[in-house]
Amino acid sequence: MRSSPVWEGLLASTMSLTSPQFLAFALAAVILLRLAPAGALRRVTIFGLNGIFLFSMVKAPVQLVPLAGFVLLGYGAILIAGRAKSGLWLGILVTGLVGIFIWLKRYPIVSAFPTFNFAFTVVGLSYILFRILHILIDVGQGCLRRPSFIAYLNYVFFFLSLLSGPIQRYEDFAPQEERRPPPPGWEEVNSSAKRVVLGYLMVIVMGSATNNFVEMAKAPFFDALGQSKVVFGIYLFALLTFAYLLNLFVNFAGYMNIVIGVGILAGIVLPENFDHPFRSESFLDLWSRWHITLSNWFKSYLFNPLLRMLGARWGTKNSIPYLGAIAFYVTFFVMALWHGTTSIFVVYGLFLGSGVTVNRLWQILMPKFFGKSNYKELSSRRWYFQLSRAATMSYLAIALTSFWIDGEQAAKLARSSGPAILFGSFLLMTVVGAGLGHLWEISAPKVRDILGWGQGGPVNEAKTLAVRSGTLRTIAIPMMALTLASAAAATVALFASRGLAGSSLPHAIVTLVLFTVTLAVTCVAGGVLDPPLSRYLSSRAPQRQADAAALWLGVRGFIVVSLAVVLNSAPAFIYQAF
Amino acid sequence: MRSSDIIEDLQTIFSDVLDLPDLRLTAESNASNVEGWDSLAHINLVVAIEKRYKIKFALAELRSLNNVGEMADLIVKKTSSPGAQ
Repeated sequence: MRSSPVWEGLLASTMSLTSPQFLAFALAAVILLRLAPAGALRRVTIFGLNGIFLFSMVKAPVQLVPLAGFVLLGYGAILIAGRAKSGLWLGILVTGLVGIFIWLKRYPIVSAFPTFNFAFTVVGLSYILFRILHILIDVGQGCLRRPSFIAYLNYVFFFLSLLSGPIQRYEDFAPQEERRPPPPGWEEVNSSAKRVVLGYLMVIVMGSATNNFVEMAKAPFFDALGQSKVVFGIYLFALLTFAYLLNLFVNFAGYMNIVIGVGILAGIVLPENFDHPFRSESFLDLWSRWHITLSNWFKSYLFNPLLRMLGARWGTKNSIPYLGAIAFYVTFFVMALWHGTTSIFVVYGLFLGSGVTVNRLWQILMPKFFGKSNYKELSSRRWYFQLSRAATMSYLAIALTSFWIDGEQAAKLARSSGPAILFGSFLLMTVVGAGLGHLWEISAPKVRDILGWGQGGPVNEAKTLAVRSGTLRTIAIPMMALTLASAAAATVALFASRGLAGSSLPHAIVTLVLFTVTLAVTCVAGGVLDPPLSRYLSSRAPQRQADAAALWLGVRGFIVVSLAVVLNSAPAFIYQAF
Repeated sequence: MRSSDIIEDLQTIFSDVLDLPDLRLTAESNASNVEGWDSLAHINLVVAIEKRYKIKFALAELRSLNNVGEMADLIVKKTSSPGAQ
């Protein structure tokens, strides 16, 4: 059902994110990578860490043979491309590697060709393909010096980005693989520890809540669809698809937070994959905010050369914008096919391609109809932004149906009232989304004021004076607000996910309390109380403030991650105990 | 061919492709200070430049053309070395 590389990565690993093994491994990796000096020792350390992580994914080493074979073939191709330096050879090698990838991943078109007769893993193969192709193409075109075999292996199998990316360029990875990072400052440790905790909060708490919601909403939706209840179906489908979008986001971006945060703690900087995607202005803008390294890769190695070829052949001043729209369609279609091997991903491709093409055509034709300056003025209006953003996220939510739907359900959706429901949900989510966006825009400054978020500069003098007269109040008020908010969120989440269904009253209270405490504790560790805490510390002991704050904030990361993991597994024990 | 000559040529190409007749390019001109130079216009500019100078940029080079000065330097390099791709 979930065949996209994101899920393969998150679910397949036997050393799952929340296991003590992974936490211990991450801690060891951070220490080793900070200490390992430049040279052979560092190279071997990374090789060893990658190896341990990779072997923890499989039950028997033989399962890794096809993957290893692919990586070896990749290096062979790079050797040939480096020698041959011809466009033709490069094309053949790239096509060959992509072909083998398609065969190993068992795409339907090559189902006639048998693969190996033992179970083998293709963990990380989808991302490994990009890393190999990038080196192959750049070496073949003379832009990159061929890396040594060990450097290549360390890059291709780097454990932090093995499962779900981010897709880092070799030139950015290589210096970090070779040299020891400079010793970190407390601010660096602090912010990356916060980031790891935020990642766990997203994956464990928000991820399970949204996942439960999605699973819960599927059956009633398909019932309503079967009975052609259009209005109810629209309402349920909107909830379902939006919950799935949130689920995918918190799982993927949460995992990225963990991986990037651990990376920075270890002294290795990985590129960002998300940039506030829920602030996207348009569908095209979305792809510079969602899975950024993927769209960058496709832009460099598919979109650019494709458009260049089209432009050189048929490019005139008038045709170039439309050639661009075509290049967008093809690029996004291929990108969608990479996400999964089943035929539903062709539908995903149609959705993505149509989305970017329509967006691009809108950008071309609107100025033509209304005039360049009128269009510019229109697109700077707040309501235009709210509608555009809501439409973008709604369209994405509906397109992502391909990730969770199976063939039978898709067939049902394509018949009778399905299309009406699809369109109706899109309209509903757009309108409601625009409205909610507007409400948030009005209320956000006040929320920020209460919690002190976004006050990066020196603390307001008047506020500090007011604070001194009630130092405990500075922390107590946000603390109470946070606990209340956590209790409210816990109640909603547990009801939405039927976590309390059928439980006795003491059981329900314990579960609720545990969930509230987990949320509050992880929020504290995630830095929600940082601004009032800094205000408190600066009012008590301005000279020692920096040290005290840094120490507190630097230590909390790993301790509270473990605490969050423990608290999250506690309900399971409680269920058994009661 | 010098970098400064190329920048003059580029000005013609840019103002044509981006539809900005009053454009004045300097070596520091880049996507943030030239109106309409987004990633789509970027590839259009590349197509025009490749046609004009009969050169071909490698895919990785397209990523690093961050300002006009860098573009001009790269063009000088590619037009002066024999067997430029």
